[in-house]
Amino acid sequence: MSSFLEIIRMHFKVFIQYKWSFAITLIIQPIVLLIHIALFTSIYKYNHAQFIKGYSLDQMIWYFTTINFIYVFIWNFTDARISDKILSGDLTVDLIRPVSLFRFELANAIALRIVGVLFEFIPGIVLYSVIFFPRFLTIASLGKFILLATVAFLMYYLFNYLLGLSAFLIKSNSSIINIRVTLMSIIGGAVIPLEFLPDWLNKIFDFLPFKYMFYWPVQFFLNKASVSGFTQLAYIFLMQLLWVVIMYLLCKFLWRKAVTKYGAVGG
Amino acid sequence: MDELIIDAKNLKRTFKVSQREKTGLFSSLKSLIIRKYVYVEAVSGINIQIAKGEIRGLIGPNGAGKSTTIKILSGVLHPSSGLVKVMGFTPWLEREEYVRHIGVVFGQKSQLWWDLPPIDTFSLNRKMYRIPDRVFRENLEYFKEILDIGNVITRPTRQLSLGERMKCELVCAMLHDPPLVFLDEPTIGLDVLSKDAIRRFIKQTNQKKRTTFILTTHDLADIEDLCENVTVINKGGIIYNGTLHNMKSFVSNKKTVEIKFAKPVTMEMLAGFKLISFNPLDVTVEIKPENGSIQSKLNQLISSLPVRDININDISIEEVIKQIYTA
Repeated sequence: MSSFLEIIRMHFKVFIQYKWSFAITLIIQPIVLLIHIALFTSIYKYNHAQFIKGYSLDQMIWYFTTINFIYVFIWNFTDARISDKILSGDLTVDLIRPVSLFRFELANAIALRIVGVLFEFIPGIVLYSVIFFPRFLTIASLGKFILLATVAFLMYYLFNYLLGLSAFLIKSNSSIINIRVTLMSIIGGAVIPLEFLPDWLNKIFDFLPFKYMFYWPVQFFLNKASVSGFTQLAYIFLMQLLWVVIMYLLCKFLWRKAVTKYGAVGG
Repeated sequence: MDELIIDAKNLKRTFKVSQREKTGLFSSLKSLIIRKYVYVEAVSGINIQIAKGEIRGLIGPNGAGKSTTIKILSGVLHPSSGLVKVMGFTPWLEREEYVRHIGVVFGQKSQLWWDLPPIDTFSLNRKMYRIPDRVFRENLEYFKEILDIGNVITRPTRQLSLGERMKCELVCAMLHDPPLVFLDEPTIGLDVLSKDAIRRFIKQTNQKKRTTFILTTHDLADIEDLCENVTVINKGGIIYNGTLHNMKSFVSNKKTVEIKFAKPVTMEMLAGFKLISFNPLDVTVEIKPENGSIQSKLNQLISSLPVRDININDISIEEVIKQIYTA
């Protein structure tokens, strides 16, 4: 465990050198927020609506900012990193460390997200609240969001690690990575709230992990009436854990298959 | 023989390589659909035994299979077949535990963290390898002194010269006192002084801690300076295994004779000799003692030609290697 913490600390030291590139979202996101305020205020006014698809105006405006927070919590480059390591042969160096690649990359992702939370989430939530105050937000809903977003981080890490392993077979997985980003954000509800999509599609999405990474944590942040009870929280949390276990077992299994294929190119 | 630290039998590793016959856009489009694969045997049946406390040199031309062999022995690559026992481990199967007992430097790769000073990588290794504080401090002091890197290890790695970095890579590989160390081209691209420092370091550590070293190199001075035994690998197999001294006689017992003449000579006058280099005033020939005695050959030269000076040498180690490689 202490070696794992030390690896996190090392990655943290590297990322902290680039802290200002993290804070760049603090410049961009307020502009996006202002656009959403203008857009949704006029849509709600035009329709004389209190709620659209179950979202109040405040919640609708904050939906997309919350999606941004989710990215701050979960984003990592594990899939591309593994692919690069295989193409360049640098995985050789990882294989002479007495630590599994899984733990080493997990430490990298954790450190990356700690810097993200410190320099994007914490100043972000203050700044955006000044611009447009989230009246729906309570300490409890924020706490639930942080809990689910943290597990979403694990899910996304595992998912990316699995994609990364594909590089053992197909070497460069950049095309898969590009498709993944698009599909994941649509299915997960990062492009538009899933209520706008047909029911039958949503039923299919229920069987995929992405909804539990984006849509559901956002619902808890927005403090939607549909997720106010404890059972909803427990259900979503357990579903997340189920996905974590499934993907973790897959990772273990596929790693053992994949590593025999490694060619250690480049000297 | 002393106690074995490495015992590898009949190692094989095949790579699947895609092949395209022509260059150009059309054939690269074609290769998207139809792709030819060839199977290349990088290592084909290598047997290698290494005794504890040895410094073993692995040499061979580029692409001979040296690195592949080292990568299998260090647990990085899975062999296609073969048996390996290193200190009781099968490297690639028990990798995480096994690598605690070895040190590895790949001259073409870096273990050091690019953005951080080497001292940070060292302290990470202390945690990863669970090195006791006292051992860590003592080793670091020892390495700092012998490699002269006291003021290097606190500067970011990206600002170090190649030689400084290579010395730090060695420290990385050895902080945890591994009984077995693999060095894959540790002196590549280094100047004479850095090479010297690294050789001295290997030699002293070998004597002081009885560390077993296995190194590949293209610099024969490394081998002459460090290794008693060499293994020559070519085309995926071992073609010589034994002492450096015997390797010369393995090729053949040739001598080279440099002759300086008082007056210019022509090639015809030297008919019957194998010429290595020719200048009208300065000639080198090769003589094989078994083709007739050296005495008669030399007599022939001295009596018939205007010889001013003569020098008889053993064939150089480079020549020997060249002959083995092209054999």
